[in-house]
Amino acid sequence: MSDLTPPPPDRAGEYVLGVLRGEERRAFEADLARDPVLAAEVAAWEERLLPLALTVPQVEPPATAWSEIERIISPPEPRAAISRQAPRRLAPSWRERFWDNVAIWRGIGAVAVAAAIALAILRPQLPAAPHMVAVLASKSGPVFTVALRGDGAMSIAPIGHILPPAGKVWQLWAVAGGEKPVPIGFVKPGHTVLPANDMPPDLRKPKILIAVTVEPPGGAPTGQPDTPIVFSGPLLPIGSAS
Amino acid sequence: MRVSIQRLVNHLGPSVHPFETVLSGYGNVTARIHIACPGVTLYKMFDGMESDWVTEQAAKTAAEGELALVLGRCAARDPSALRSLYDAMAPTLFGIALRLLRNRPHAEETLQEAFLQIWRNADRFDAARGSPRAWMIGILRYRALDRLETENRHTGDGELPDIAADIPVGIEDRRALSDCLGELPENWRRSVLLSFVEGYSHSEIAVRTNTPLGTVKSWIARGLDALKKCLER
Repeated sequence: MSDLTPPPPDRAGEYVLGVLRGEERRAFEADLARDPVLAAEVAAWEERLLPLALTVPQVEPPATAWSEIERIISPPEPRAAISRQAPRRLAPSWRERFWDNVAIWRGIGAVAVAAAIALAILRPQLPAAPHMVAVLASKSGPVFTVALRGDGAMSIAPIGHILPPAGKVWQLWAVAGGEKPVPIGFVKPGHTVLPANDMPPDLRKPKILIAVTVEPPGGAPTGQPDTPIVFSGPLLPIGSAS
Repeated sequence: MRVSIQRLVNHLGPSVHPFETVLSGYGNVTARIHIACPGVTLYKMFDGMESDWVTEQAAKTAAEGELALVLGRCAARDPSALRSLYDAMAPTLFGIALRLLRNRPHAEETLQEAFLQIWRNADRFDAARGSPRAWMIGILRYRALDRLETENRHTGDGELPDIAADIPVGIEDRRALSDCLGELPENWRRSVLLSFVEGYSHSEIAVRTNTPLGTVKSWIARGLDALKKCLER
Protein backbone atom coordinates (compact mmCIF):
# COMPACT_ATOMS: atom_id res chain seq x y z
CA MET A 1 0.00 0.00 0.00
CA SER A 2 1.22 3.43 -0.83
CA ASP A 3 1.94 5.76 2.04
CA LEU A 4 -0.53 8.20 0.58
CA THR A 5 -3.58 5.95 0.66
CA PRO A 6 -4.70 5.39 4.21
CA PRO A 7 -6.47 2.11 4.93
CA PRO A 8 -10.25 2.23 5.29
CA PRO A 9 -11.17 3.19 8.85
CA ASP A 10 -11.45 0.24 11.21
CA ARG A 11 -14.03 1.52 13.63
CA ALA A 12 -13.98 -1.62 15.75
CA GLY A 13 -10.22 -1.30 16.11
CA GLU A 14 -10.47 2.39 16.95
CA TYR A 15 -13.20 1.70 19.47
CA VAL A 16 -11.14 -0.94 21.27
CA LEU A 17 -8.05 1.23 21.09
CA GLY A 18 -10.04 3.97 22.79
CA VAL A 19 -9.80 6.73 20.20
CA LEU A 20 -13.49 6.83 19.33
CA ARG A 21 -14.81 9.50 21.64
CA GLY A 22 -17.95 11.37 22.42
CA GLU A 23 -20.73 11.15 19.84
CA GLU A 24 -18.68 8.88 17.60
CA ARG A 25 -18.30 6.38 20.39
CA ARG A 26 -21.95 6.47 21.39
CA ALA A 27 -23.03 6.02 17.78
CA PHE A 28 -20.68 3.08 17.45
CA GLU A 29 -21.97 1.49 20.65
CA ALA A 30 -25.51 1.81 19.36
CA ASP A 31 -24.48 -0.04 16.19
CA LEU A 32 -22.57 -2.56 18.27
CA ALA A 33 -25.63 -3.49 20.27
CA ARG A 34 -27.52 -4.66 17.18
CA ASP A 35 -24.77 -5.84 14.86
CA PRO A 36 -23.26 -9.21 15.77
CA VAL A 37 -20.62 -8.88 13.05
CA LEU A 38 -19.42 -5.65 14.60
CA ALA A 39 -19.51 -7.25 18.04
CA ALA A 40 -17.33 -10.08 16.75
CA GLU A 41 -14.88 -7.57 15.28
CA VAL A 42 -14.68 -5.76 18.61
CA ALA A 43 -14.11 -9.04 20.44
CA ALA A 44 -11.37 -9.92 17.96
CA TRP A 45 -9.62 -6.61 18.58
CA GLU A 46 -9.97 -7.01 22.34
CA GLU A 47 -8.31 -10.38 21.97
CA ARG A 48 -5.53 -9.04 19.73
CA LEU A 49 -4.70 -6.24 22.13
CA LEU A 50 -5.13 -8.32 25.29
CA PRO A 51 -1.39 -9.01 25.60
CA LEU A 52 -0.73 -5.29 25.54
CA ALA A 53 -3.36 -4.66 28.22
CA LEU A 54 -1.68 -7.30 30.34
CA THR A 55 1.67 -5.54 30.18
CA VAL A 56 0.28 -2.75 32.32
CA PRO A 57 1.56 -3.41 35.84
CA GLN A 58 -1.02 -4.85 38.20
CA VAL A 59 -1.97 -2.82 41.25
CA GLU A 60 -3.71 -4.23 44.29
CA PRO A 61 -6.90 -2.26 44.79
CA PRO A 62 -7.80 -0.99 48.26
CA ALA A 63 -9.97 -3.34 50.32
CA THR A 64 -12.77 -0.77 50.31
CA ALA A 65 -13.27 -1.36 46.59
CA TRP A 66 -14.62 -4.84 47.15
CA SER A 67 -16.77 -4.02 50.17
CA GLU A 68 -18.73 -1.50 48.12
CA ILE A 69 -19.25 -4.02 45.31
CA GLU A 70 -20.30 -6.62 47.80
CA ARG A 71 -22.73 -4.27 49.47
CA ILE A 72 -24.43 -3.63 46.15
CA ILE A 73 -24.65 -7.22 44.94
CA SER A 74 -25.65 -8.75 48.26
CA PRO A 75 -29.27 -9.77 48.42
CA PRO A 76 -31.31 -7.28 50.47
CA GLU A 77 -32.11 -8.16 54.05
CA PRO A 78 -35.53 -9.73 54.42
CA ARG A 79 -36.55 -7.35 57.18
CA ALA A 80 -38.66 -4.54 55.85
CA ALA A 81 -37.31 -1.53 57.64
CA ILE A 82 -33.58 -1.41 57.22
CA SER A 83 -31.69 1.70 57.94
CA ARG A 84 -29.26 2.75 55.29
CA GLN A 85 -26.43 1.71 57.55
CA ALA A 86 -27.67 -1.78 58.19
CA PRO A 87 -26.24 -3.55 55.15
CA ARG A 88 -22.87 -2.01 55.78
CA ARG A 89 -22.89 -3.33 59.30
CA LEU A 90 -24.08 -6.79 58.29
CA ALA A 91 -21.83 -7.20 55.35
CA PRO A 92 -18.61 -8.06 57.20
CA SER A 93 -19.89 -11.33 58.59
CA TRP A 94 -20.59 -12.60 55.12
CA ARG A 95 -17.31 -11.30 53.95
CA GLU A 96 -15.43 -12.79 56.84
CA ARG A 97 -16.90 -16.17 56.15
CA PHE A 98 -15.93 -15.79 52.56
CA TRP A 99 -12.45 -14.75 53.41
CA ASP A 100 -12.14 -17.73 55.69
CA ASN A 101 -12.85 -19.91 52.74
CA VAL A 102 -10.35 -18.12 50.61
CA ALA A 103 -7.76 -18.40 53.33
CA ILE A 104 -8.30 -22.12 53.68
CA TRP A 105 -8.15 -22.55 50.00
CA ARG A 106 -5.01 -20.47 49.73
CA GLY A 107 -3.42 -22.56 52.45
CA ILE A 108 -4.06 -25.68 50.47
CA GLY A 109 -2.56 -24.09 47.42
CA ALA A 110 0.52 -22.96 49.27
CA VAL A 111 1.16 -26.44 50.56
CA ALA A 112 0.81 -27.82 47.11
CA VAL A 113 3.26 -25.28 45.81
CA ALA A 114 5.76 -25.76 48.57
CA ALA A 115 5.57 -29.51 48.38
CA ALA A 116 5.51 -30.04 44.73
CA ILE A 117 6.84 -27.36 42.48
CA ALA A 118 10.20 -28.15 41.22
CA LEU A 119 11.63 -28.15 37.80
CA ALA A 120 15.18 -27.97 36.70
CA ILE A 121 16.39 -26.30 33.63
CA LEU A 122 17.24 -28.30 30.62
CA ARG A 123 20.61 -26.88 29.97
CA PRO A 124 20.65 -25.80 26.37
CA GLN A 125 23.07 -28.38 25.12
CA LEU A 126 20.83 -29.71 22.43
CA PRO A 127 21.54 -27.67 19.33
CA ALA A 128 17.92 -27.69 18.23
CA ALA A 129 14.87 -26.90 20.27
CA PRO A 130 13.18 -29.97 21.67
CA HIS A 131 9.91 -31.20 20.25
CA MET A 132 8.74 -32.77 23.45
CA VAL A 133 9.56 -32.59 27.10
CA ALA A 134 8.84 -34.68 30.16
CA VAL A 135 9.24 -34.18 33.85
CA LEU A 136 10.22 -37.43 35.55
CA ALA A 137 8.88 -37.42 39.06
CA SER A 138 9.04 -39.71 42.03
CA LYS A 139 6.40 -39.79 44.70
CA SER A 140 8.13 -36.93 46.44
CA GLY A 141 8.51 -34.65 43.45
CA PRO A 142 10.23 -34.02 40.13
CA VAL A 143 13.66 -35.58 39.71
CA PHE A 144 14.66 -35.22 36.07
CA THR A 145 13.62 -33.16 33.12
CA VAL A 146 13.78 -34.67 29.67
CA ALA A 147 13.90 -32.83 26.37
CA LEU A 148 13.38 -34.90 23.24
CA ARG A 149 14.49 -33.59 19.90
CA GLY A 150 12.71 -34.47 16.69
CA ASP A 151 15.48 -36.84 15.63
CA GLY A 152 15.25 -38.78 18.88
CA ALA A 153 18.21 -37.22 20.65
CA MET A 154 17.43 -36.71 24.27
CA SER A 155 18.71 -34.44 27.00
CA ILE A 156 18.12 -35.53 30.58
CA ALA A 157 18.93 -33.12 33.37
CA PRO A 158 18.66 -33.81 37.07
CA ILE A 159 16.81 -31.49 39.41
CA GLY A 160 19.10 -31.05 42.34
CA HIS A 161 21.68 -33.63 43.29
CA ILE A 162 20.74 -37.27 43.21
CA LEU A 163 22.62 -40.56 42.83
CA PRO A 164 21.45 -44.09 42.05
CA PRO A 165 21.82 -46.66 44.86
CA ALA A 166 25.38 -47.95 45.29
CA GLY A 167 26.31 -50.50 42.65
CA LYS A 168 23.23 -49.81 40.57
CA VAL A 169 22.43 -47.77 37.49
CA TRP A 170 19.41 -45.93 36.28
CA GLN A 171 17.91 -47.40 33.15
CA LEU A 172 15.60 -45.37 30.96
CA TRP A 173 12.50 -46.83 29.33
CA ALA A 174 9.80 -45.63 27.01
CA VAL A 175 6.40 -47.16 27.59
CA ALA A 176 3.49 -46.95 25.19
CA GLY A 177 0.16 -47.69 26.83
CA GLY A 178 -0.24 -51.45 27.26
CA GLU A 179 3.05 -52.24 25.53
CA LYS A 180 6.24 -53.66 26.89
CA PRO A 181 8.73 -51.05 28.04
CA VAL A 182 11.42 -50.32 25.46
CA PRO A 183 14.92 -49.74 26.86
CA ILE A 184 16.27 -46.39 25.70
CA GLY A 185 19.57 -46.07 27.52
CA PHE A 186 21.07 -45.16 30.83
CA VAL A 187 20.78 -42.02 32.86
CA LYS A 188 23.94 -40.70 34.46
CA PRO A 189 23.82 -38.87 37.77
CA GLY A 190 24.70 -35.61 36.04
CA HIS A 191 23.44 -34.31 32.74
CA THR A 192 22.88 -37.02 30.14
CA VAL A 193 22.63 -36.56 26.39
CA LEU A 194 21.49 -39.59 24.43
CA PRO A 195 22.29 -39.55 20.71
CA ALA A 196 19.77 -39.31 17.90
CA ASN A 197 17.72 -42.40 17.24
CA ASP A 198 18.23 -43.97 20.65
CA MET A 199 14.55 -43.17 21.05
CA PRO A 200 12.69 -45.13 18.34
CA PRO A 201 10.65 -42.91 16.02
CA ASP A 202 7.34 -44.57 16.86
CA LEU A 203 7.82 -43.65 20.50
CA ARG A 204 8.50 -39.97 19.90
CA LYS A 205 4.97 -38.91 20.55
CA PRO A 206 2.91 -37.33 23.30
CA LYS A 207 1.78 -39.37 26.28
CA ILE A 208 4.50 -41.98 25.87
CA LEU A 209 5.67 -42.60 29.40
CA ILE A 210 9.36 -42.05 30.07
CA ALA A 211 10.38 -44.10 33.07
CA VAL A 212 13.48 -44.90 35.09
CA THR A 213 14.20 -48.10 36.99
CA VAL A 214 17.16 -49.07 39.17
CA GLU A 215 19.03 -51.93 37.56
CA PRO A 216 22.38 -53.70 37.85
CA PRO A 217 25.22 -52.26 35.74
CA GLY A 218 24.63 -53.14 32.11
CA GLY A 219 20.91 -52.94 32.51
CA ALA A 220 18.08 -55.31 33.26
CA PRO A 221 19.35 -58.77 32.26
CA THR A 222 16.01 -59.87 30.86
CA GLY A 223 15.61 -56.80 28.67
CA GLN A 224 12.60 -55.86 30.70
CA PRO A 225 12.60 -53.84 33.89
CA ASP A 226 13.07 -56.09 36.92
CA THR A 227 12.24 -53.44 39.46
CA PRO A 228 9.50 -50.92 39.99
CA ILE A 229 9.65 -47.59 38.23
CA VAL A 230 11.28 -45.00 40.46
CA PHE A 231 10.70 -41.91 38.34
CA SER A 232 8.42 -41.36 35.41
CA GLY A 233 6.49 -38.78 33.43
CA PRO A 234 4.68 -38.54 30.11
CA LEU A 235 6.06 -36.80 27.05
CA LEU A 236 4.39 -33.46 26.49
CA PRO A 237 4.27 -31.81 23.09
CA ILE A 238 5.66 -28.35 22.86
CA GLY A 239 2.97 -26.54 20.98
CA SER A 240 3.71 -24.36 18.03
CA ALA A 241 2.00 -21.68 20.11
CA SER A 242 5.09 -21.08 22.18
CA MET B 1 -3.11 -17.76 43.08
CA ARG B 2 0.18 -16.09 42.65
CA VAL B 3 3.06 -18.31 43.46
CA SER B 4 5.87 -16.85 45.43
CA ILE B 5 8.66 -16.64 42.94
CA GLN B 6 11.30 -16.23 45.60
CA ARG B 7 10.17 -19.48 47.03
CA LEU B 8 10.56 -21.14 43.69
CA VAL B 9 14.01 -19.77 43.25
CA ASN B 10 15.01 -20.95 46.69
CA HIS B 11 13.59 -24.32 46.02
CA LEU B 12 15.01 -24.79 42.59
CA GLY B 13 18.32 -23.07 42.85
CA PRO B 14 19.76 -20.21 40.88
CA SER B 15 19.93 -22.08 37.59
CA VAL B 16 16.19 -21.86 37.14
CA HIS B 17 14.61 -18.75 35.72
CA PRO B 18 10.99 -18.61 36.71
CA PHE B 19 9.25 -15.73 35.10
CA GLU B 20 8.24 -12.85 37.24
CA THR B 21 4.55 -13.62 37.10
CA VAL B 22 2.27 -16.49 36.55
CA LEU B 23 0.01 -16.37 33.53
CA SER B 24 -1.27 -12.93 34.18
CA GLY B 25 -4.82 -12.42 35.33
CA TYR B 26 -5.77 -16.03 35.77
CA GLY B 27 -5.89 -15.74 39.52
CA ASN B 28 -5.49 -19.06 41.17
CA VAL B 29 -4.71 -21.05 38.16
CA THR B 30 -1.16 -21.47 37.15
CA ALA B 31 2.39 -21.45 38.21
CA ARG B 32 4.78 -20.79 35.43
CA ILE B 33 8.29 -22.02 35.35
CA HIS B 34 10.64 -21.26 32.59
CA ILE B 35 12.99 -23.92 31.44
CA ALA B 36 16.09 -22.46 29.89
CA CYS B 37 15.62 -24.38 26.74
CA PRO B 38 14.41 -22.67 23.60
CA GLY B 39 10.69 -22.17 23.65
CA VAL B 40 9.90 -24.51 26.49
CA THR B 41 7.75 -23.47 29.38
CA LEU B 42 5.78 -25.85 31.50
CA TYR B 43 3.06 -25.03 33.96
CA LYS B 44 1.44 -26.60 36.92
CA MET B 45 -2.04 -25.58 37.84
CA PHE B 46 -3.15 -25.14 41.40
CA ASP B 47 -6.71 -25.05 42.44
CA GLY B 48 -6.59 -26.84 45.74
CA MET B 49 -4.95 -29.70 43.91
CA GLU B 50 -1.98 -29.64 41.65
CA SER B 51 -2.21 -30.70 38.07
CA ASP B 52 0.26 -32.57 35.95
CA TRP B 53 2.78 -30.56 34.07
CA VAL B 54 1.16 -29.03 31.08
CA THR B 55 2.26 -26.86 28.23
CA GLU B 56 1.48 -23.18 28.07
CA GLN B 57 -1.32 -23.60 25.58
CA ALA B 58 -2.99 -26.26 27.68
CA ALA B 59 -2.64 -24.14 30.81
CA LYS B 60 -4.18 -21.13 29.11
CA THR B 61 -7.03 -23.10 27.67
CA ALA B 62 -7.80 -24.63 31.03
CA ALA B 63 -7.49 -21.29 32.81
CA GLU B 64 -9.76 -19.50 30.36
CA GLY B 65 -12.23 -22.34 30.69
CA GLU B 66 -12.12 -21.93 34.44
CA LEU B 67 -12.83 -18.20 34.24
CA ALA B 68 -15.66 -18.84 31.80
CA LEU B 69 -17.22 -21.26 34.30
CA VAL B 70 -16.93 -18.67 37.04
CA LEU B 71 -18.64 -16.14 34.78
CA GLY B 72 -21.41 -18.68 34.33
CA ARG B 73 -21.81 -18.82 38.10
CA CYS B 74 -22.02 -15.03 38.17
CA ALA B 75 -24.79 -15.22 35.60
CA ALA B 76 -26.53 -17.59 38.04
CA ARG B 77 -26.21 -14.88 40.71
CA ASP B 78 -23.63 -16.53 42.92
CA PRO B 79 -21.86 -13.69 44.77
CA SER B 80 -18.90 -15.90 45.66
CA ALA B 81 -18.26 -16.30 41.92
CA LEU B 82 -17.88 -12.55 41.54
CA ARG B 83 -15.46 -12.61 44.43
CA SER B 84 -13.43 -15.28 42.62
CA LEU B 85 -13.33 -13.12 39.52
CA TYR B 86 -12.35 -10.19 41.67
CA ASP B 87 -9.51 -12.13 43.24
CA ALA B 88 -8.32 -13.18 39.82
CA MET B 89 -8.75 -9.96 37.90
CA ALA B 90 -8.98 -6.95 40.22
CA PRO B 91 -5.23 -6.18 40.32
CA THR B 92 -5.06 -6.37 36.52
CA LEU B 93 -8.14 -4.19 36.08
CA PHE B 94 -7.15 -1.71 38.76
CA GLY B 95 -3.69 -1.38 37.23
CA ILE B 96 -5.22 -0.62 33.83
CA ALA B 97 -7.71 1.85 35.32
CA LEU B 98 -4.97 3.67 37.21
CA ARG B 99 -2.83 3.86 34.10
CA LEU B 100 -5.67 5.28 32.04
CA LEU B 101 -7.04 7.66 34.66
CA ARG B 102 -4.02 8.51 36.80
CA ASN B 103 -6.31 9.14 39.70
CA ARG B 104 -6.81 6.60 42.47
CA PRO B 105 -10.33 7.53 43.60
CA HIS B 106 -11.52 7.58 39.99
CA ALA B 107 -9.77 4.30 39.25
CA GLU B 108 -11.37 2.71 42.30
CA GLU B 109 -14.84 3.84 41.30
CA THR B 110 -14.25 2.65 37.76
CA LEU B 111 -13.14 -0.72 39.08
CA GLN B 112 -16.37 -1.00 41.05
CA GLU B 113 -18.47 0.02 38.06
CA ALA B 114 -16.71 -2.57 35.94
CA PHE B 115 -17.29 -5.40 38.40
CA LEU B 116 -20.93 -4.44 38.80
CA GLN B 117 -21.30 -4.50 35.04
CA ILE B 118 -19.54 -7.86 34.87
CA TRP B 119 -22.00 -9.08 37.49
CA ARG B 120 -25.03 -7.77 35.65
CA ASN B 121 -23.90 -8.79 32.17
CA ALA B 122 -22.20 -12.10 32.93
CA ASP B 123 -24.86 -13.92 30.93
CA ARG B 124 -23.87 -11.93 27.86
CA PHE B 125 -20.33 -13.24 27.86
CA ASP B 126 -19.88 -15.39 24.78
CA ALA B 127 -16.93 -17.75 24.95
CA ALA B 128 -17.17 -18.32 21.22
CA ARG B 129 -16.27 -14.70 20.63
CA GLY B 130 -13.37 -14.15 22.93
CA SER B 131 -11.69 -14.93 26.20
CA PRO B 132 -13.09 -14.02 29.62
CA ARG B 133 -10.07 -11.86 30.37
CA ALA B 134 -10.38 -9.82 27.19
CA TRP B 135 -14.11 -9.38 27.85
CA MET B 136 -13.59 -8.17 31.41
CA ILE B 137 -10.72 -5.88 30.49
CA GLY B 138 -12.92 -4.42 27.73
CA ILE B 139 -15.65 -3.61 30.22
CA LEU B 140 -13.18 -1.90 32.52
CA ARG B 141 -11.65 0.07 29.68
CA TYR B 142 -14.97 1.38 28.36
CA ARG B 143 -15.98 2.51 31.83
CA ALA B 144 -12.62 4.20 32.23
CA LEU B 145 -13.08 5.92 28.87
CA ASP B 146 -16.48 7.18 30.05
CA ARG B 147 -14.75 8.77 32.95
CA LEU B 148 -11.93 10.16 30.83
CA GLU B 149 -14.53 11.87 28.69
CA THR B 150 -16.38 13.39 31.63
CA GLU B 151 -13.20 14.48 33.32
CA ASN B 152 -11.69 15.66 30.06
CA ARG B 153 -8.44 14.78 31.67
CA HIS B 154 -5.55 14.94 29.27
CA THR B 155 -6.28 18.13 27.43
CA GLY B 156 -3.29 20.38 27.50
CA ASP B 157 -1.85 18.51 30.43
CA GLY B 158 1.88 18.89 30.21
CA GLU B 159 2.85 16.96 33.31
CA LEU B 160 1.92 13.49 32.11
CA PRO B 161 4.96 11.32 31.84
CA ASP B 162 5.60 10.04 28.36
CA ILE B 163 5.80 6.43 29.28
CA ALA B 164 4.38 4.66 26.28
CA ALA B 165 7.88 3.77 25.24
CA ASP B 166 8.36 1.81 28.45
CA ILE B 167 5.78 -0.85 27.74
CA PRO B 168 7.58 -4.07 28.41
CA VAL B 169 7.48 -6.44 25.50
CA GLY B 170 8.81 -9.87 24.83
CA ILE B 171 6.90 -11.63 27.54
CA GLU B 172 6.26 -15.04 26.23
CA ASP B 173 2.58 -15.11 25.47
CA ARG B 174 2.82 -11.58 24.11
CA ARG B 175 5.56 -12.16 21.66
CA ALA B 176 3.45 -12.12 18.55
CA LEU B 177 1.85 -8.78 19.39
CA SER B 178 5.05 -7.22 20.65
CA ASP B 179 6.86 -8.39 17.51
CA CYS B 180 4.17 -6.83 15.37
CA LEU B 181 4.24 -3.62 17.38
CA GLY B 182 7.99 -3.60 16.95
CA GLU B 183 7.59 -3.72 13.19
CA LEU B 184 5.50 -0.55 13.09
CA PRO B 185 7.10 2.78 12.26
CA GLU B 186 7.81 4.66 15.45
CA ASN B 187 5.04 7.24 15.06
CA TRP B 188 2.38 4.62 14.43
CA ARG B 189 3.52 2.45 17.28
CA ARG B 190 3.73 5.33 19.69
CA SER B 191 0.25 6.54 18.78
CA VAL B 192 -1.21 3.08 19.25
CA LEU B 193 0.45 2.75 22.66
CA LEU B 194 -0.50 6.25 23.78
CA SER B 195 -4.14 5.63 22.96
CA PHE B 196 -4.53 2.08 24.21
CA VAL B 197 -2.28 2.13 27.25
CA GLU B 198 -2.39 5.76 28.33
CA GLY B 199 -5.91 6.59 27.20
CA TYR B 200 -5.02 9.47 24.89
CA SER B 201 -7.49 10.65 22.29
CA HIS B 202 -6.54 11.56 18.74
CA SER B 203 -6.41 15.23 19.61
CA GLU B 204 -4.44 14.65 22.79
CA ILE B 205 -1.82 12.76 20.81
CA ALA B 206 -1.80 15.54 18.24
CA VAL B 207 -1.14 18.14 20.94
CA ARG B 208 1.36 15.94 22.70
CA THR B 209 3.37 15.19 19.58
CA ASN B 210 2.82 18.59 18.01
CA THR B 211 1.37 16.96 14.92
CA PRO B 212 -1.69 17.83 12.81
CA LEU B 213 -4.77 15.91 13.89
CA GLY B 214 -5.25 14.35 10.45
CA THR B 215 -1.76 12.94 10.55
CA VAL B 216 -2.35 11.36 13.95
CA LYS B 217 -5.59 9.80 12.73
CA SER B 218 -3.74 8.39 9.79
CA TRP B 219 -0.93 7.00 11.98
CA ILE B 220 -3.45 5.17 14.10
CA ALA B 221 -5.47 3.88 11.18
CA ARG B 222 -2.29 2.60 9.54
CA GLY B 223 -1.02 1.20 12.78
CA LEU B 224 -4.22 -0.77 13.34
CA ASP B 225 -4.24 -2.01 9.78
CA ALA B 226 -0.61 -3.09 9.92
CA LEU B 227 -1.05 -4.78 13.30
CA LYS B 228 -4.03 -6.75 12.10
CA LYS B 229 -2.21 -7.91 9.01
CA CYS B 230 0.91 -8.76 10.94
CA LEU B 231 -1.00 -10.81 13.52
CA GLU B 232 -2.81 -12.69 10.82
CA ARG B 233 0.40 -13.55 9.05
